[in-house]
Amino acid sequence: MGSVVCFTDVTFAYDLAPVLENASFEIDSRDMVALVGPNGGGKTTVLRLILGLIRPNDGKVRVFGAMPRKVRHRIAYVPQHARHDSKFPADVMDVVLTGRLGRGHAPRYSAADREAAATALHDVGLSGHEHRSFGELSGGQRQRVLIARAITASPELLLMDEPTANIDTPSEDKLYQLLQQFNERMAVVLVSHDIGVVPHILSRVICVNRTVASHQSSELTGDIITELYGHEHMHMVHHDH
Amino acid sequence: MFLFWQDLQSSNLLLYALATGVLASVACGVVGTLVSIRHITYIAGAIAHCTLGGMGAARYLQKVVGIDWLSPLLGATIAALLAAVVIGLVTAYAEERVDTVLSAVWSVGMAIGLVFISRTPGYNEDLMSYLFGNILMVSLHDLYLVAALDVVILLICVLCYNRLLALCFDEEFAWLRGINVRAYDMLLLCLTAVTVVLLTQVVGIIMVIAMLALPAAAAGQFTRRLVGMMIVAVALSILCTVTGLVVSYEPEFPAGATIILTATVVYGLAVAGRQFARKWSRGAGIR
Repeated sequence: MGSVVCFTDVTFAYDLAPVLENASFEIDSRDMVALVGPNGGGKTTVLRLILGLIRPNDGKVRVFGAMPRKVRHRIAYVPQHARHDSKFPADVMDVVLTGRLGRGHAPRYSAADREAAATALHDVGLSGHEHRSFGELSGGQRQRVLIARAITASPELLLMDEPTANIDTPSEDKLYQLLQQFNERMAVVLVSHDIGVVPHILSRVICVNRTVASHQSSELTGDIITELYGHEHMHMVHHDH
Repeated sequence: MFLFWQDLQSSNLLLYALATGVLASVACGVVGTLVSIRHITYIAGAIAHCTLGGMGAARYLQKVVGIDWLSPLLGATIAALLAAVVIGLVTAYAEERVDTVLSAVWSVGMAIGLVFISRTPGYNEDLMSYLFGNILMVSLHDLYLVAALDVVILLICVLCYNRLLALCFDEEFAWLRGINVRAYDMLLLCLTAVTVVLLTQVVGIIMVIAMLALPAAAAGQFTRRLVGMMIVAVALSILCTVTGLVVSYEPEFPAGATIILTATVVYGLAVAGRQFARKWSRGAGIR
């Protein structure tokens, strides 16, 4: 299996205090991984480093063996859906089609672009919603539109920020089913502050709290979680493997 | 109102005023929509006030130094583009607070304008028409420039529509798709700058942001796609400018102010209409 993401001794600081210190880990092309850790622990920093939005102060970040910003078109990113302006004048199709844009794209969308967008909407179960306004959708539906937008360009790595925030349990189950399907053709990385949601579908859990530790999801025990979060979160978890 | 239509047939100035109003409305609806969904109305405000520097300097150079071709409208265009580039560069590269930069651009432009105007003999009355607009003083030469700028704005908006939509909807995602976000941001600021200049001809520097914001906001009440919002905003801008001009003519109200008041009424009616439509459809849904 090829390595999709590779961190080697990565250190990053916004000011003086490092958010991330000597972080090293790898994500393989068929991995389904969760980056978990407390808020402020550096998960978002890891995400932004992978996307190439920021550069490490020290160490090396490689995605598909290259600098992240050089391969950003091969990465699909699903941000938190709640941050979009609900009054934005765009329908579902408009939003999904932006996923087809890229360097050198013609001023207008082609028939192939529309077909890819329709297929992506079909994949996330939103066929027939093409012309609804993005703002009037439910949280779970918006998230699926953003997933469709992310996968229209046939990415090899899918990154999702806080996938379970602001959606209900049925939507959550549907989401995990979807991600399992996508995982057959791309690596999937979820970022979550809520370790209680770590489902059995994950191959590994990467714990981020200034430093980084990678665990097979079956190894994830109370001790590791205590180490990561401190005692007060102990009651949160126990999931079966 | 009758007098307006009567004079329109005999007076070229009135015809130019009407044509300028309609042409500026086209840019106003299209770019105003982009400005409002990108939430940069106050950047537009800073650029608008900065144009006084360009107008004042151009008037001075025209009247005192004798550079005839340098019209205030051309000076305003240069100043607005310069302000847009400065704001774009500073917000992208320098780690300064955006509002500090905007305040500086806003008032420095005005200060420069005031200094030049004070040095230009006999033209203090210009100041009033720059600040509050005087659409009845538009010359044929100005009208040509307005038309040319309009064509440029529309062409760019058609060609870059998808990318501008992507940028306004989700800047980070647009960057990940390989779109040069800084370049398109700069492009949007320059489009805003040119539109602001066109609108200063109609309603004056001080009231420009109302004209950028209100027709677009009214259009946003009833449209769900960007292109629809743009088309409706253009129609509403034309409605406001023409109505404002016609209504203000006979009682000799200031045209710019009347146009802004019309736009406010249109916006108010749109918001009320939307609320009403919602309640009505909800009521119908229950039954």
